[in-house]
Amino acid sequence: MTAARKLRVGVLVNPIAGLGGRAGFKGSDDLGRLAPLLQTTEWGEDAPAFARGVACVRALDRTRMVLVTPPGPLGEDVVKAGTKYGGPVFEIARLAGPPPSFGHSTAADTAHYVRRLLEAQIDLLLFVGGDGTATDVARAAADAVPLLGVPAGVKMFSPVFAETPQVAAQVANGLQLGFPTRPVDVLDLDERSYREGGWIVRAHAIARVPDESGIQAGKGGALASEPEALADLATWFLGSRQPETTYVMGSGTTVASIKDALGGGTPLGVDAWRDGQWLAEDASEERLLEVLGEEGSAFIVVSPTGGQGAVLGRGTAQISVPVIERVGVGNVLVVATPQKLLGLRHLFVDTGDPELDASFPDYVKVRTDALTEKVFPLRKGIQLGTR
Amino acid sequence: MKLLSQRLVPLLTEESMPGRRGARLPVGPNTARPQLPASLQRRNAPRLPEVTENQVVRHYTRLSQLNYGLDTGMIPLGSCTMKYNPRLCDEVSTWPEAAHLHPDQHPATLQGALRVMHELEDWLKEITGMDAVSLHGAAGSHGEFIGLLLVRAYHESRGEGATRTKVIVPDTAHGTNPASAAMAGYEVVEIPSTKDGTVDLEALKATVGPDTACLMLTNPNTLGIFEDEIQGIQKTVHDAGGLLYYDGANLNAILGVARPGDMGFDICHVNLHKTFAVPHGAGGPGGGPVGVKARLVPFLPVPRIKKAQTSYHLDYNAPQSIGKVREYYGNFLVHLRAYSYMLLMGGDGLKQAAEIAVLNANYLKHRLLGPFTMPFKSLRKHEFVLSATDLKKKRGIRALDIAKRLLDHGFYAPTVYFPHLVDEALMIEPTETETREELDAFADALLAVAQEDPTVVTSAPHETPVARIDDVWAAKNLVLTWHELHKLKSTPPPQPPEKVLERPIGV
Repeated sequence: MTAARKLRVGVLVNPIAGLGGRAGFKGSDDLGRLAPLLQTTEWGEDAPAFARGVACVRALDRTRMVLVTPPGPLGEDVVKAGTKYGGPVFEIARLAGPPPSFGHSTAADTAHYVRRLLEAQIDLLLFVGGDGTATDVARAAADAVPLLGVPAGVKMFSPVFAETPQVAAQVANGLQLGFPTRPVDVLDLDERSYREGGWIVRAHAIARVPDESGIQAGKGGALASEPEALADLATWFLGSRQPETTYVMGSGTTVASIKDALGGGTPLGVDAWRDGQWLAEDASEERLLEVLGEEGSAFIVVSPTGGQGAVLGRGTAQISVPVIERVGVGNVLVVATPQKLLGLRHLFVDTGDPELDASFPDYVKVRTDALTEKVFPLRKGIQLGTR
Repeated sequence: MKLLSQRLVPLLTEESMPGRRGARLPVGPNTARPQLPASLQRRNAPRLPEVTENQVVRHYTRLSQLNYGLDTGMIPLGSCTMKYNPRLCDEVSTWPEAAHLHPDQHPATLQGALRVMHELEDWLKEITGMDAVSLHGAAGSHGEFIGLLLVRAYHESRGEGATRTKVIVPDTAHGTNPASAAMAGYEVVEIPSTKDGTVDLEALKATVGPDTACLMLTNPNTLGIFEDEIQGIQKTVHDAGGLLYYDGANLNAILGVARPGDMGFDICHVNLHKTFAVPHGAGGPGGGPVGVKARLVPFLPVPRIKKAQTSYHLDYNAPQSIGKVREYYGNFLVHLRAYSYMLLMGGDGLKQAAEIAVLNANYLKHRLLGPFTMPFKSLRKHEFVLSATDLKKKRGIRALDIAKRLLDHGFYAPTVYFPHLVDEALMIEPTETETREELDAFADALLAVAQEDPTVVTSAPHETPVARIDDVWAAKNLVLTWHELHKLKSTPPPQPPEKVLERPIGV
């Protein structure tokens, strides 16, 4: 048998990722606020993105992959430092003109170089950054290549990140050509709202990540692949929808698969559907209350956020307390794929209204396909992080 | 000494060279030969491989060396109960008095076989605490399916067949439980475990209702933990009008010590091929007898073996029966092996087997804690589930890597990545048939792997005939026939050119 070709792994670095955390900022999205920090930080081990990127590259298996990286601080510097004493062979994917220097790269640079790496036919894009970087990368990659995040940012809500730089390297080392992937929502906390005491985590894009859970199912029976599981959920919904009932459909990939089956809706917005008609798309709270009216049967269809298990109250600001009260806590349908539920021990609601939270049952059933529900303890009003 | 051959074995067709021959004695003139019509006789000689006698002998000997089984070493597959099966039981099943019987014979000529099966039913009743047993089930999953058909028949007889639509399973259940429930037309509701690793009784209370058909449970569960709230569990389900189903996959842990019937279970199946010395692991034949409490007896499949005075017969007179679930009456030679095993062991011997199985598991667990962690309760019965998360975080070694590297150390791998509620799970069931020396050798191997260079472990196996398999590629490019293999070898998949522009400093 001929040896399989090596995996081509893109390495992209957001040099300023993580800098904001040192100043107590909630992210590094606001370049204006970062300016004083940039003047006192040197590009090197002092910068979180550099240190964590190098730690990851050092652990990559030279026998399994070829790296492809943008020039300068967007990748080359980190790859060269990480392979100083041996490591994977690498290529530098250049664009016309000099690369941006440290502190002067923008989201547009990230997008340009993601597209350049795609031209270089990479099999996996390893990026170093936080949620903001993940959003920029996922939007530019447009589902054309699987992503794997090396955590270096201030906020890391997205399930695209490995636990540590070393784990990211181990995941990459374990991949073989044609490895399975699954879709995830790329999430980001809105920094402005956070600074003002709010907590709005939004799904900004959809990405694909390596599907580690698919390695071996053993005695448990194989889990359906993510596309199969999403199709199963859509089939369940089509078979169980009720007439003269309004469905408020939440955001994210899971509910989006049901929206697709219904022929419409917005993947990242909240929509309302009734008897074959889209009553509202990417709707605000006011619009949802308007289409729900005062009376009539209604359900909310939502999926827990990956990794955290938030059913309501995280990234679903439009499904507000008045909307939930109008629909009723007993009419919240929770859906998820089996992969998404792996590792979750409980789910939680945090609507901001303790009384409403308390009125939810202590256990919630999550629909995973037409024949299966999974029961989870439901925690209420859990505060994550420092508000 | 490594147990696996270092060389792959080519096909005999690939070794063939024209003119190579072996020798055998000529067929005598009085040997009976089948007389076939001329139209069915071949005109040309078959294109068999042309090889020498020693090529043939070596071919098959090498193939046997590629095999790994209980005859070569321990198989610690958790949840599978891969214990060594005494030769005696196999030998009995080959006796012509048993092997040459045909189920179409008149029952008057099958009295011995019917007696064996009837007595086996009686013994299984005693072991499980059930009121009646049917031997029809041909496998554990088949036993489960029969059990769920009994659940349906029971509820239908009470006018609740249409409303009791859900089967509850804990998140530690075997994958076959939800599959069997779905096959029987039920919806499956999975409930969580507590931090102790046992059924969350409050979650169960919040889940049961008028739509509950039954709860399927193993006890001890898949983590090897005994469900100490079993009385509360059975009361909760029964109060809601549901039934309790016992998955007998883990019966080896409680033989002679505790009985599903006494715990309140209404239906149970038994895996003869796990607990009662019937070989398994290669797709059968197995045995999955089903036991029931008195209120479910009318629904058992037909025929049933009945004893009248001193003779036995097959009884089809059961108007409420779920009917036939397979041809004839189960796998008789499997029943005979289990019957022989029970005779060999005796009641005290079976109890001792369970005690040693539990002792062996806890001894191994004790030796392995350290580099491996074990979530949930510490006291385990016949099996335990370790986690390799610490090794993954600190050294980049995953459960899959450990399983592969164990092959280099001459051991079969444990079950990995099951149950799903343990990260990087290594599920180990040593059974009672391994000596302490074998247990120590296995523990030494696992502990050695945990200390080895991660690059060696994560790229293992190195000493098996085939290196780490690209299972993703294999799953996407199934090669199931010789012709497909031949085609693949003659036209390898296209490989894109590798272009290297720069090399890293220092390499």
